Amino acid sequence: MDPSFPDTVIERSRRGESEAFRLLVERYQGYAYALAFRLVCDEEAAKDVVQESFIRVWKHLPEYRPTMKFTTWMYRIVVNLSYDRLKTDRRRNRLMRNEREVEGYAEVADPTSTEQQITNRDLAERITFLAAGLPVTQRLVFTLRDLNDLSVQETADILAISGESVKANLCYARRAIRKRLEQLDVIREYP
Amino acid sequence: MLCRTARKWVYLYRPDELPGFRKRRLERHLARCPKCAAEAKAAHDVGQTIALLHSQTPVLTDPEGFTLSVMRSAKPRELRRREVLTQVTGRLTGFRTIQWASGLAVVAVAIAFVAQVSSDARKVALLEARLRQSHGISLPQEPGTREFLRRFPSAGELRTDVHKAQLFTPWSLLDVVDGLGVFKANQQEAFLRHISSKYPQLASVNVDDGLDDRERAVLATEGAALMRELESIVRREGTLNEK
Repeated sequence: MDPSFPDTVIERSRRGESEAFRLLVERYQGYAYALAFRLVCDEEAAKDVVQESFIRVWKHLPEYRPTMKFTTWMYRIVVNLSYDRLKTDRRRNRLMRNEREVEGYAEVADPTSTEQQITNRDLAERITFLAAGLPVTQRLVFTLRDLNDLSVQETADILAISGESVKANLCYARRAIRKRLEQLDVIREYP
Repeated sequence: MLCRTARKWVYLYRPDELPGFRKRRLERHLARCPKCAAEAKAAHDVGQTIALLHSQTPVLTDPEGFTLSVMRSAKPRELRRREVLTQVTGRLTGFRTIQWASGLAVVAVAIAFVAQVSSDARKVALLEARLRQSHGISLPQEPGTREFLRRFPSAGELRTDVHKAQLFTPWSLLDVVDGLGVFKANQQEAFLRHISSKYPQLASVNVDDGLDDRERAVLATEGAALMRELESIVRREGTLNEK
């Protein structure tokens, strides 16, 4: 994250200046997208989440207090919306899976995909593979800490939990991932 | 150090996850426990696999287009507030809302009616009991009076006050006359003057220290006469509730 981004831009956005807010979006949309994508593992869903997040940021900026880092505050919004999205998608996927089982539906890759989209899709598959089956908090902690490289304290602030809780969830998440990797022979099984 | 603890801590392999003194304890333990050391190796492998993922950053395709689309959605705040207001007022005047509001109003009126009826009946019953108990006075049993009380429960309060003689302090008189709702504002004081001159002894009755024979006699004569007069006025004029 760029620490040199001037506070004045945030302040001007708080006052309702559209131009300042545009700068803010330009600066942070990449970070927000990376986080949302790692959480929802889908390009379109991540874009929706980020768009909705920025709309919320815009709407609630007057309530933002600089006692918290702006990025922490923004990430909290992204995480909450991603979490909501995951919940609805899970519900929808359950329904879709049932329909596909009935209709023998097979997903076909879009032939017009760009190289970046293919890379994103590949990454999404890997993350989905690793994080599948993790409980929600563990998944959030794992994504923020291990995939997004945020500090323990920042992760704790975003999820509004303690640092110790972050560490405990990290232990469980990494241990579960280890078991999964071992089962699929990705890493060597230790006694 | 317990193996159970060590096997948790080995997963906290990144720099700011395990404080120095714990790290040293863990290292000492791993040096003499092969099983925990194996777990530490596994944790290390997991860390490396995850690090591969971490190095791949998902990239937003068409960032300029995305910024534009966000900016289109984030309308000026003042405008948005107005829209929210319109939405809210729109919802309030929506058909469904009207249906709900009407339904709730009907229920509220029904509840108020039932409460009022039961409260009036209770008031009359309480009034009778109180008068009988404290002053040995029974309400007139003529059908007309009882009917009057049933129809104009506020007059029941009036009757209580008459018998307790509190009616005859200027303030309570004013309250009661006002409560009857039959006089216009400019008539009330004239009526009070009329009562004071027509029933001069009533003002001397005080029930706070109990009723003596003289006070009972005043109530039986002047009090009853005043009641009759008030009742006849209410019968003739009706009350605001009746109107």
